[in-house]
Amino acid sequence: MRRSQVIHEFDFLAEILPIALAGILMNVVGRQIAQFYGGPFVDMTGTAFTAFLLGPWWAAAVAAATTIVNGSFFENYFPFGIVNIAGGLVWGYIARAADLPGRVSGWNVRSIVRLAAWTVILIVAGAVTCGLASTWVKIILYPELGRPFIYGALYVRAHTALQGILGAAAPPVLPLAVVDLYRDLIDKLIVVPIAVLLVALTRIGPTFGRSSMTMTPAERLQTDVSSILVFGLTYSAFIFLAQMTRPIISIPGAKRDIAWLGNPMMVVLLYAPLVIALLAFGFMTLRASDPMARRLHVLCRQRREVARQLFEAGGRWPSFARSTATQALGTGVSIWPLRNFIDVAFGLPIALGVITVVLAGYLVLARVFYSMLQRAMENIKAVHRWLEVGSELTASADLVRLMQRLFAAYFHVPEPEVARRNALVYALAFVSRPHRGRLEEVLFGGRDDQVSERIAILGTIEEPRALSMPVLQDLASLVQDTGAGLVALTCSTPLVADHDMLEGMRFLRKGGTEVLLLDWLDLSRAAAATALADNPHTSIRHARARALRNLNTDDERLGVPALDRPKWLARRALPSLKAVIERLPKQSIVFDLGSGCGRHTMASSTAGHEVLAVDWKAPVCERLRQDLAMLSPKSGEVSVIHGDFIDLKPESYGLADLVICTGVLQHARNGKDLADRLAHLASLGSQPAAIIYIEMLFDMRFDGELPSDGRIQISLAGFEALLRETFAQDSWALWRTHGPMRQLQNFDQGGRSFEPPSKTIESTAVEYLIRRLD
Amino acid sequence: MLEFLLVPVVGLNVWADFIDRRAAFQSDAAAFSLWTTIIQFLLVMPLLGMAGRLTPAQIGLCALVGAFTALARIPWYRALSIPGQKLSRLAPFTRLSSVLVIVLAFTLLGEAFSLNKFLGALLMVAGALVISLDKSFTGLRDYLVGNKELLLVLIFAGSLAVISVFYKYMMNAGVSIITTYFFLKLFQCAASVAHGFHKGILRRGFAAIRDLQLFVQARTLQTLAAFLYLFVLRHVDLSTVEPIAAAIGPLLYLSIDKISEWRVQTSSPHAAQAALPATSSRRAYIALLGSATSALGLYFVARG
Repeated sequence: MRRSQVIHEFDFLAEILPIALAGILMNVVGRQIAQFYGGPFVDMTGTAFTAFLLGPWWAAAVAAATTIVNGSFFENYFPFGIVNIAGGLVWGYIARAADLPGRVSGWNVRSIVRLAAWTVILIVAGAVTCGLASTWVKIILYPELGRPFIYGALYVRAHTALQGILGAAAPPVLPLAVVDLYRDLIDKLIVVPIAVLLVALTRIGPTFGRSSMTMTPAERLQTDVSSILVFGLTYSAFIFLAQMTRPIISIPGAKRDIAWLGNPMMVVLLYAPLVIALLAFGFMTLRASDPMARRLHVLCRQRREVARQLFEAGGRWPSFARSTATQALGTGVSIWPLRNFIDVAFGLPIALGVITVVLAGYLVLARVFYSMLQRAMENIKAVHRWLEVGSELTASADLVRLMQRLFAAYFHVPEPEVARRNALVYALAFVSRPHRGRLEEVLFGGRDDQVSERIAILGTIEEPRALSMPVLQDLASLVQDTGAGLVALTCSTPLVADHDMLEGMRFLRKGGTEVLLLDWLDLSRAAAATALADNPHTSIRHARARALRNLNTDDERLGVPALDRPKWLARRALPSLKAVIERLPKQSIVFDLGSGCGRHTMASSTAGHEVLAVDWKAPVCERLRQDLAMLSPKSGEVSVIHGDFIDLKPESYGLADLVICTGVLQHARNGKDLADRLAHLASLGSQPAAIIYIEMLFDMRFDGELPSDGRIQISLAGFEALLRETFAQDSWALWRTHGPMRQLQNFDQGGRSFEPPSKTIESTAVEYLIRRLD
Repeated sequence: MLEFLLVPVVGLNVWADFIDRRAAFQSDAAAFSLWTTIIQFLLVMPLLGMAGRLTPAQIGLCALVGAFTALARIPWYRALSIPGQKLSRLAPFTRLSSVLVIVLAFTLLGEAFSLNKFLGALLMVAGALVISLDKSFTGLRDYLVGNKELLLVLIFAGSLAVISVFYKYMMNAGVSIITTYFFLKLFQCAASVAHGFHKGILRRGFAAIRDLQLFVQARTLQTLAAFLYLFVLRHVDLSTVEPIAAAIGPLLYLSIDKISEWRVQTSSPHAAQAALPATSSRRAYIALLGSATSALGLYFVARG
């Protein structure tokens, strides 16, 4: 006989798996019911059921597996997994020693009395074990959590009662233990009888009991080595998943959250089941030559025979079901585990097991998905927060002053004087020697550049804030006059695409001057980071990386090679909107209304979302379709629709998670048209947590001229009033995320992300993020 | 007073080695190594919450060290499973790891090399060579064939040295000892499982261990010894701990081997005569001399 065969007492597929899965299901369902209706936890019925039938270590494995499932739903469940395991071990050893399954074989008065007596013993043993284990966990965790032992009405009542008996000296741990014992007694009064009845009523017990009656109590305690190994693996999975999913716990009444697995006493407690497992393993006396090992094998075969007889004698099943099963069994294929579906004694746990697997899988997946969603929403909330803070800060101060403040805090330079050279508004800052290291570290990522003491030019460009050749020439002369080693300018065009301007910037850089172009988002992010955490590093580094990338890219990029066009378009997405797109959960539904050449379509698709792009210009749609062919296969699906977005009905196209409408609404003909379009946007994003992102352009000038195409002329205040009217405060949260920012865009060499109607367009841009609340 | 805990630490390790020698006999060395790493990993799992984070470079290094040290156990168990091997003969060779530690620490970590260390290393090598002379041989080839098990132990000693240097490196990098210990066990387990999968012993490996009980007992003792050692290290300097632990080990092996021989001889002189080859007094002197020289060398090395 091979040794690997003799260390199993039970058949894994036919006996262990269905019972263990049924046990997990009972535990999970019990806890969910308790959560719904209140009262005792009732999450150990399955542990008891498994312990009675399969013994202590399979029960402990079921308890650990239950904790994994329940722990993903209930925040504080994981630490108390030890309690479930302890209960399983005690019940399992008592049931094995007393041969409980064998005692439920008859239904005469004597056996019922005997069964009732054992039930009482099991209730008391379970309550004491679980109560003490639970108290022990609390004694370890509560001091670190800053939670008092006496908290809540029940504990106060117990404390008062104990003080009446023991006097004022009654230690606070005592009421904790008493209440835990009381709670566990109530719980076990429900759990143990249910498990015992299940063992008796499903007729599994007698089958197990009859076969194990030929073993002595000592022998019953010494079998099934594999259960300990399986427990070891399940227990490790329990600890691993606890650390991965619930490393931090917070209990009602606690002052702080704690990393409970890092508590040394908790680690000691976690070792307790492993130590017991090792001792139990030491007890196992199985040898290859051991007659008991051979007897175990014979007993397993006997149980199969009993099950077969049950099946053949069973008259509860319709004859066609039996004949079908008989035919299946008669095919000669070894389908022994399937036989257990035939009789209700085994069919019930198997069915429950299958349900457990499906339910647990579904619940775990749902939990994972929910966590992902939660994380994404937290991310978006964080983005909102810094957009909000940054927006307030940028609105409350003029940009030069804001930059001065930022850089004064950042480079530790005193507030410098503001000067002006044509459109360039700037201040000179002197980066002094003591802070040189900090400057190097932050700006140059710890490189060994020989940075001498340097003068920094911190500034912005007057409205419309676009970097132009005259500004660059002024900057070059200023650098020459001052010997500045660093230029940080706020402008609306941080991604320089003009060849001459790039050459000008490269020339400056060759002369030893770093040029950083900060856009509104960098500034807003840095301002928010400074206000919230006194740390604008990331934002500045980001700006520098972008500047270097820009300068070091081959000029061929300016021609936009066909293969790079989707990426190039995606890079031109509005920074604030791009931040939102990247933080949405993958495969979100995005409607890009008025997509133009598709910069936001590309950004959304690249981020893995499914996009519906709509534009009313047929050539633009066609160009977008061609560009989409170059997208990476990993990108999200994109559909392009030619038409007016007002015709896009939710009944036909569904609802979106993100509705993008940038640079479109200014085309509205009149107030009613604008109101209708806003209402339509609201209807497309009418599901909870959906986001509508709008960029509106005011006071537009085309080559310096007022628009002549009959578009609406509306003020910022008028538009915002209309927004508030459409997006009611109780259902929608509304942020102004950018602007108002006056900007000048040059389209001398054609359009970039849309088809421009003139060579230069001057406008005041404002961006809004609107989120559905209910 | 905590220094006294080193006696049970070394004792538990020696005890585990003696159990391993029995359990490894007629067992598959690769399966033995595989399940050793699995059980050791299960036993360190509760420390997960106390383990910190590692940088990608540290994880990579840990994976390399874990893989090497896990696979280097196989020659050790192979040496143990050779019939008639005495631990007192093999143990001084495992302690050659200290010599390798000196070399690796000098070359990789840039640590100082003192006269004491040099003398200690020479004594340890000399001690190991003396022990290897206990068998008669006619030439170099005969000598190497007769001592092939010692070559296997040398590989294991190399892995022990790598572990020591790795711990030192991680400590210098500010990584806690528990973090290093946890991740080392994790990667040892991963490497063993990958090797087991490659060799197809994952399934039959469990059955290829002759005595599971003894095997698990040895793992328990080793883990217990490791925890005790970590506990002592938290309160006592490494420079104090190492010389004591190093000096106790070889002599303990020798004493236990002699006691067990004496017990067998006194309980059943005829059976002992049949079972054990007669040990000449020359061999006994060689073993004692070799072990004492190794212990002295270890003492010098550890004192630095």
